[in-house]
Amino acid sequence: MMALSKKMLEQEPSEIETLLPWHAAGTLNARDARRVEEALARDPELARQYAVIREEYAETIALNESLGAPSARAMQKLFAAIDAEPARKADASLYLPSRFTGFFASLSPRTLACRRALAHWRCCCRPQRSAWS
Amino acid sequence: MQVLYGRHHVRVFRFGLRLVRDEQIAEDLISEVFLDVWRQAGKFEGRSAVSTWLLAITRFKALSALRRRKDVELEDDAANAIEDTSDDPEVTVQKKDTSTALRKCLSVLTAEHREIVDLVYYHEKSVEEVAEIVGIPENTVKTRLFYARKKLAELLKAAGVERGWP
Repeated sequence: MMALSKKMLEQEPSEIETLLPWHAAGTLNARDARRVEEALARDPELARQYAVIREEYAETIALNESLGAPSARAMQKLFAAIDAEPARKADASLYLPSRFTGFFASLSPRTLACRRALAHWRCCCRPQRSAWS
Repeated sequence: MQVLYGRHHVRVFRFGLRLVRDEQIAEDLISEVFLDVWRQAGKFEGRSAVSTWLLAITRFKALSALRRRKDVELEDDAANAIEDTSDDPEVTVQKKDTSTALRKCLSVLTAEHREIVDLVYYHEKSVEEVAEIVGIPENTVKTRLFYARKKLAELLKAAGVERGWP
């Protein structure tokens, strides 16, 4: 029984081991990142596992990037649904909480440029959506 | 809303698509997610990143869609399929290409494992953020990803790819 428990414990990953994927993604806090770096420097087995994780990380990104983007249909459907929302809700949305409007205010110029492009796209599509409804 | 949509819709779509594995349903999901955001903007408390909030809503809606389709049982069949075809000539070719094999194996992980791998690697979410999105304790997040990686290694081994771990 004790041998079984010991074996089970041996199969459990160490805490540092479980943090490796976040280290690869660069999302650990400074303290944990330092702990992982120190462990990697002294443990070749852990370093090998980390190399495998780096490969998984790169391939997961590549796989997701290969999925492409949704068609314009999704956006048309969304804004048609928003247009169909009761006016009361649309008016209320003008008074979004400051934390949310703060988020909008913090957007980069690149995102704002995207907004202009989307607004233009939506403007062009309006007659088409009206024709559907 | 246009700004929010422009900034996040592709990642929301990809996260949803990896869960439901159907482009049509994934496109419907993003409309539903952003419509919910439009309706519930006042409930956003700003304690987490907007992207974390969006991914949590997407996950909830994707799982609802999956339950409707009753496809969840197929997950294990899909995972077993790659093991069963290890001697297939097609797989033999893939043995030479670790990258291709890795992507194929990433695609046949269970939904539970796929979502955690994607959230950590692609969406770059911290342990705390994944816990919030998936609704599980932080320690479970860490061990779940560890076992997702072990499963990935098993699938790769079955496909003839040895990477030296575990």
